[in-house]
Amino acid sequence: MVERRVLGHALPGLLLLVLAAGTVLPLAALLGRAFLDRNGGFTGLGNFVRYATEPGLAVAAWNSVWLSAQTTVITIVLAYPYAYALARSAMPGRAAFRLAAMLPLLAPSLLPAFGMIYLFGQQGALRGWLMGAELYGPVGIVLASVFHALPHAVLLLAAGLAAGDGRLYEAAQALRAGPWRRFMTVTLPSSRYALVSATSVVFVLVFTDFGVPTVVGGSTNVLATDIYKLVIGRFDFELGAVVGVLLLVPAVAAYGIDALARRTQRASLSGRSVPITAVRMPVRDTVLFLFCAAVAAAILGVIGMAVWGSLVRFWPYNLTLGLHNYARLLEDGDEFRAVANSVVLAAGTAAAGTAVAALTGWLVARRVGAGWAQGAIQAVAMLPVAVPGLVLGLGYIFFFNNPANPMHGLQGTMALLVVCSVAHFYTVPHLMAVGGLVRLDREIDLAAQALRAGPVSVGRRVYLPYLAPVLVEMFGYFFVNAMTTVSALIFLFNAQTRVAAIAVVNLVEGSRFGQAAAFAVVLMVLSLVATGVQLAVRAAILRRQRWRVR
Amino acid sequence: MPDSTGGTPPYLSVQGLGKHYGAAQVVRDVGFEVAGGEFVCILGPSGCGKTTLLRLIAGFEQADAGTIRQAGADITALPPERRDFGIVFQSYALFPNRDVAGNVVFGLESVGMARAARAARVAALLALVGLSDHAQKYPSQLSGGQQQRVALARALALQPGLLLLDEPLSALDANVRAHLRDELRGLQRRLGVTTLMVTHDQAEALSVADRIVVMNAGRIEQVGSPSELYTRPGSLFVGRFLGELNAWPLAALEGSAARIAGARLVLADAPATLPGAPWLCIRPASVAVGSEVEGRENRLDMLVASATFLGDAVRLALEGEGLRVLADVPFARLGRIPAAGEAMTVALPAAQLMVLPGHG
Repeated sequence: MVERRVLGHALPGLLLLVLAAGTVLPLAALLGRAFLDRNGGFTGLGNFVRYATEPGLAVAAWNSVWLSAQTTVITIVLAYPYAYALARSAMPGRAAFRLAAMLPLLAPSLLPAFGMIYLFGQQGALRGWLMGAELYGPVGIVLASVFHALPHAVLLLAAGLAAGDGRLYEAAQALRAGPWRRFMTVTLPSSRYALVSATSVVFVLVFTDFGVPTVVGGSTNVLATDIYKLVIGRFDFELGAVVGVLLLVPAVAAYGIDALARRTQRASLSGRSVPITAVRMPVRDTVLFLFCAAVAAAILGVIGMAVWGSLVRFWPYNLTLGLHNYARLLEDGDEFRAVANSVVLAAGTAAAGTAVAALTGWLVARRVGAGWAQGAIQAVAMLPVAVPGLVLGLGYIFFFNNPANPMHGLQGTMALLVVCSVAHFYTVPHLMAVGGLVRLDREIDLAAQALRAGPVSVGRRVYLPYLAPVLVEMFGYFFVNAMTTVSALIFLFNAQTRVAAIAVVNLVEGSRFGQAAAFAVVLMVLSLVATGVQLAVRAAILRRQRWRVR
Repeated sequence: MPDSTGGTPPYLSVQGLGKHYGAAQVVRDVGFEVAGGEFVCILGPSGCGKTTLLRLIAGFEQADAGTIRQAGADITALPPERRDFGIVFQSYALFPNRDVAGNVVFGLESVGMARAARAARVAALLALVGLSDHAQKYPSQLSGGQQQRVALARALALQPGLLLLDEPLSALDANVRAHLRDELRGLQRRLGVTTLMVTHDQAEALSVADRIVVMNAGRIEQVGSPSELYTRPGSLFVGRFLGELNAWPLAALEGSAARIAGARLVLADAPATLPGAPWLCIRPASVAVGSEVEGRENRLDMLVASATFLGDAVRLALEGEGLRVLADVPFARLGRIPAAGEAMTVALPAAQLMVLPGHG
């Protein structure tokens, strides 16, 4: 049967080739480059030695580690009670608090950094709060990074805390354990995996973030800014590749730790778990409410400052409010094109990414196709989550700039930016598709087969309607992330393909903060609109699919 | 292998079928035949390979050895969609996004039947399973029994020559199960569709099947009609699997008597030679108790160890003369539940005693 052969080998093979071209091969090109000299000869660790011995470079590696560690500790300490309050307490306004915590996800990481400048910079409104410390440098990086990383940590921890087993609490209560003992013996151990996961995600996020140190890093060098300076400023691709490898180290380690923790977690979770119902505890809930209110106020305050900054005519000298900075975006052809490019990139990434991820998710979840292909596709699809955007982008230069590459023609096109963004954000949507389809009974495929329907026919008649709401979520995820990302694209854009998030970086480099803030706000608003549309479409689909109602 | 088809060629014939996953041999040298219109149950404990056997016949798995012939044609290597069968799964595997009619019509759409013909066929099928009033409901709105009927109607939609049922009743409540079992049997008789059902429930197999294939550890243990298997099991395994059984290791034959630990019991027809690991067996319902023992051989004086009320009968556990005997006595005849420690004489009628091989 032709369909069988196509689905068994040809389709998975093709998808594997596409995924490999988007992830594995550029990464291999980058790794290779780190061990070659300028003329392409093998130098072993020569480049690494050069990096370690050149004055001023290695200190960036230390800064990255130390600042990421500080940020991680502060973020987790803030995020855990916040997530606990969302998932377990009966405090009022939980939905609103959840929304407030998610807000920074919709903007590039530069946005909280702007907020920091307007609050604590040389002319900042709350300058005195730093007690004489300098914002630009370690303080600014840590402060802004906490805001950038907080939503990720809250999301992971809240999900982990929500998935606890209610029976354990009843058992503990029956054994006369008080609230504190219950927290220490049940809550904390059961959220261990979420803690490990959140810790590693936050560390890697901060370690590889480009936006925050660019805006508030001052003269403090970190790896993420060094790689940019080395490649774009000095054209030293070899040292750039070395920094790329260094950026990859914690990401790969975190990936391994996460996989390990997940394995032990699976053993401790039982299918018979009973969902937890939040209990009202007035004192605890009041304390948590005050805490969450403070954190949410800080988030809104920082974002609000950035919005305010975008509305100010010329900060800090002329504080009259107006749409001056936004008008400039419309008038200037280059800037307007950047916004348009962002929309094109986000829509293209979302469309292409959703289609491909739905296919790979389907192949893996429904075990369509040969066994070798399923394993290989799953492995390649999981790779991007461990690859920082900067590393991926640099890999793209090495791979696609090579004249010997038949895909060399993509170089400098919007298509390459789309490919890169799809690859960069691939893992989560792929897992969404797998998770959505794996829930359907395995015997559904056999039943369809017995009813003479091939995999494609079942896909169209059963899986597509079943997966529809998940597809909308996947689309939204790709869209918002492609809209706000900087790191992977910073090496790939040119004048024609420059997107708004990159334009923000360029404006910051030119100290045009007002306009940069306006750009960032526009991106955030577009992301907000996209998220709103996504939620509305998803709700409409769920309303129409009456069969989901129990 | 007894030829039950009486000269006409069998509709389904399985020969020397084998299947292994890695080192585990799941199905070994399995062979049996099914006549057209027959209802055959494949019965065995979980892990005995019965579901794998069904999946081999459906084509969801490929056999390592042996052949499967259906209606005279060798189908061993055909993919499922080119075989002629309908299947009902344990989970029913209904399409959640399609209503009852949408599930039943699925196969008809696959083969490109015209719209009007489809509608008529779906209506007929829904009437057949008594779901005409529920055509627009979705699976999540149906009870387990109703879902099972939808799965059955869907499996019958393409008028398959062979109906495969994979533990179709095991997910249902006991009452619904008994009711649907009878309905399934009636429907199968009316349609005359050759049916192969996998189950681990011996009561289910005994009540619906024309013939039963008993499997154990990947092999066929015995094939026969329900009454044959129940009254003349070929092995200790089959005897025990089909119902409660008294079984004692048989030490030796002494003429027409069997010696077991603590007793010497007369047999009606003693075998000429003993099988390997022989056991002497009798069904609890065949044990004579009280006034029934008058004039019978193999009488034993025992004490009641415990009595369990089963509704229509009382199961007595009796001990004495070094033996432990289970006896099922109709409650109507006892009129009361004997107390533990009560003395009682039982008889093991020679005609009901069986000598069975205990392998496996």
